[in-house]
Amino acid sequence: MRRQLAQAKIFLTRRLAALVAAAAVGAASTSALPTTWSLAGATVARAPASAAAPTRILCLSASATQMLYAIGAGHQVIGVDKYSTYPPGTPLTKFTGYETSAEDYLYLKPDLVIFAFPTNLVKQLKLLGIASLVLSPATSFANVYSQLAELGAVTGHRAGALAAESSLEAHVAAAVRTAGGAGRGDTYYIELDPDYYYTATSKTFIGAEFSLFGMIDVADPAAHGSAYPAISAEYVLKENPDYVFLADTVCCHQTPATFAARPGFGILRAVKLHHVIGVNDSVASQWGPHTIESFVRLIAGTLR
Amino acid sequence: MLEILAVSVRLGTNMALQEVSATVPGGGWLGVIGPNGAGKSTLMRAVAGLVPYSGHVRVAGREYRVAEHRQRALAVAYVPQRPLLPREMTVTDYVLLGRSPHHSYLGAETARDRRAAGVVLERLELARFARRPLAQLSGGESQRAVLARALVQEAPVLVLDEPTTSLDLGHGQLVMELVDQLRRERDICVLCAIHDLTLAGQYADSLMVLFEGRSVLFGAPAEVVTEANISRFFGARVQVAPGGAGPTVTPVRGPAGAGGNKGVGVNASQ
Amino acid sequence: MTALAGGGRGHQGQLKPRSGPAATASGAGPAGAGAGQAGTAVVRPTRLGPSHVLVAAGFLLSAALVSVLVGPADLPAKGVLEEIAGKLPFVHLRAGLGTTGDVVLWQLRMPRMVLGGLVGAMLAVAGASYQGVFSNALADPYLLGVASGAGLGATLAIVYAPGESVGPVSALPAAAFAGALVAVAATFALARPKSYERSAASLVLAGVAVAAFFTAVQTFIQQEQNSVDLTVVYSWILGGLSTAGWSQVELVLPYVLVAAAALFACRRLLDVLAVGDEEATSVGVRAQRVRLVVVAAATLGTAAAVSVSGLIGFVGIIVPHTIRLLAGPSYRRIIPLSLMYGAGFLILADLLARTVLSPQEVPLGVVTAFLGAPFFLIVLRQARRTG
Repeated sequence: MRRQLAQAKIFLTRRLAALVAAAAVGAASTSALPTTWSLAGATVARAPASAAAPTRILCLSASATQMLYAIGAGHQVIGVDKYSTYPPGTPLTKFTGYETSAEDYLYLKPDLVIFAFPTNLVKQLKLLGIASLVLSPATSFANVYSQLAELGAVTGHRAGALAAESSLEAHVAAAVRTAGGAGRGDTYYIELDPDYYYTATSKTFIGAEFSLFGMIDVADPAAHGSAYPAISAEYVLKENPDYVFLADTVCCHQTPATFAARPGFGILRAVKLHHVIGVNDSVASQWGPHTIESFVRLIAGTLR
Repeated sequence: MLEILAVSVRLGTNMALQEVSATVPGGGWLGVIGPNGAGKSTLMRAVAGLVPYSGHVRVAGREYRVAEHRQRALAVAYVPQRPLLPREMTVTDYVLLGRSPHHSYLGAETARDRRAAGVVLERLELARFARRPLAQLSGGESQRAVLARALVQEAPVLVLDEPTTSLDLGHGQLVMELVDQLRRERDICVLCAIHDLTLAGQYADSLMVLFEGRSVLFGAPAEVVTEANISRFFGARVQVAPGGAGPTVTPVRGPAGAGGNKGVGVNASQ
Repeated sequence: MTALAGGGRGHQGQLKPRSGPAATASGAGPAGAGAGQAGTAVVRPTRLGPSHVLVAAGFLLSAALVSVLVGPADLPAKGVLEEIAGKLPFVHLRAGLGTTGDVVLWQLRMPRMVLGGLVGAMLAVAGASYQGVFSNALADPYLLGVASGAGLGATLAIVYAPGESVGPVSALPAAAFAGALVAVAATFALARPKSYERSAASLVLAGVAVAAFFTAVQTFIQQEQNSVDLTVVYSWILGGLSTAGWSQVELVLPYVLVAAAALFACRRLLDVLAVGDEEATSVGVRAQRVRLVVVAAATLGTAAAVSVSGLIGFVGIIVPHTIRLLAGPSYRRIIPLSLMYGAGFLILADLLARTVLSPQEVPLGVVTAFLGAPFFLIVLRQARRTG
């Protein structure tokens, strides 16, 4: 079974970014929570009674969890989904966000629930008087920063959000500096599935991370409009990328050794130069500050 | 009264019937005989409105358009050669299907329908099978059930396609007797396709011979059923003896080596 | 030869009972219950009896009640019953649950239970109707391409228009609905019956071709997409009841009501079709027209159901067939009982789906298969023993 990928739908996040920008402007000038966001038809309303920040947040998005703790709102979190393993010590629950009845969450008495994708649960929670927030997978750094800002506004940690944004920017810039221009113009192949050669183009968020270093994605010409196309072994052989990153180490047990052992792959430049690197699958499905920082550091380390 | 006027049926590229005409008075019985493939079944189905035809079929002077199935069902009842008997349907429900044209299209049967069915079940000695599924009936009993379904339609024309084919001698006779009785009682026109020439002659008032889609002979059984005619149109060697109710046909076996259907045809010289 | 006394001469074709001594030699003698005139048998056509209805209604109501009593929010049973009773006319009770409990009951559990009932009823009655018009006890409501059409529509919506809306309706159910209708329309367009006997068979064959084509297109589109979309598509295909208040119920209710009413009205005609197209026509029932109306109604309702619930299998075969084994082959019973038992069955299946692995949900199509198949085998074995 394939694992979850963060599929960013361009118009959804564009809409989100636009609304968040407007909300952020609005939020900056008032101390109240933004009252409604329209996210692809799902109207998110804040809890009717209080204007105070939520103190019982149920966060069902691993990336949002990272963000919450990064901006200093960790003490307001009373539950996270089972995949929110960073930072360690989060209050894990057995939920995934794919439940079909909001009743499941009632025992936690949340006042805000955060999802990573639109779901009917938003409406159900609204009927129960519980606010929700949908933060869809980011496709760019701008998305990440705006999500940080939004969470800062919602939880009453605007300053913490600004600090987190600066911190993230600094870390990313530092990593790019460390690479010192190495890797500029080099090609890479990021693998998400070993059977069908699913990969990510530079139009995805992970692609944006590579673009920081000026690297070129071999999958771009083969995209045919999809952000996550399936290419083929032959294509990889033909393109002969300089670097290969395996993001299917957890789901599909791939390692540089198994990659090199594939028929014909011994001749690849990346294999010969030992530029095949295995990374945790979550780099392609999460966009929290910790994930981003670790990954860009890893890329910089690889390139040097 | 049933009038068949120049009825022709085209099946694919083949003219299954060509300009067949006949008249059956109320209470009369017209038997249709002929060799295999002559078009007997096709004629039955055309009169029942189940195949498209050119020409006219009139019941009591009224002709029914293709779309008027319900009205036609009130005028013509049809007993097919191989009826489809739903195994688990009870005899009562099956017979009541014949009342469909009488009650409203979507509605249930009325008390009148149930009375009519009761009379027919009684008459055809099916009352004790009334609640049984059709699968539990013998050949003769199920053929009576099919006949009951047709009779309960209370139509002035009864079309039977080989009603005795799957029945033994006794049951075949029983069915023919029943039909004969009922047609006299109720003034029903009977149009009956039949293989058995003796049986045909014994019950029908008149016979029509179909050959290759055409009506080639028409008349009283004694006139139609002759050795010469049978040899000519059926290619069979028989002996015909005059009987009480109708001519008796006895097949005659020829000398060893002599063939069967040689030279069968309208213009055959024999 | 039996003696058949002639009766009076009636009008042409009309039947009159025999008079005379032979009249008493019948199975139902004069002492028999309710024999009309002398010489007529007692005729009891198959009917839907009050006992059938009561048992089915009892089953449905119990299933519905249990379904709203069970859930992770742990609502007190007494409170739930008081709430429900309070909504009945002329009954005045204090509200039994708090505000949250009230919302959980009326906005979360009730809509889901009602949706399950509507979908289950529709799938079962559609399956029964298809079995009637195709004279095949294995026909299911997806026979003519509804499943593949809805699947293609859903895939297109998930992949190309996620989160989009068509007016007040979100794209997924609208696309699934449209896809189902297009597929069945294609089936009808392709099936050109040349004679009465072949019309049913040609429809089924055309349905097979259309289904294969639509499924191939759907698979092709899926292949191009990534695994999140695939997961969503597959979980839709496996079926589930996910509600957001009463909106899904409002969406499907008109279609299901119209379709179920039409099929209910045609139930007696389905019995006539059991003797085949030709004989049905000879008693005044045009099989092709009945088939068209029934298939149209069943398709409309099934498409609506599938658009909100995905492809839930087995209900359309298991429920009508079980009823057939227990209550007989007449559609006068099978159609109305399918509505009630289908609703109850799916409500119970959904209850199981959401409690067995709570808080995870087992896809509803998996549960119906797990529940349906063994139960059906049991009923089949019992029927063989008695029948």
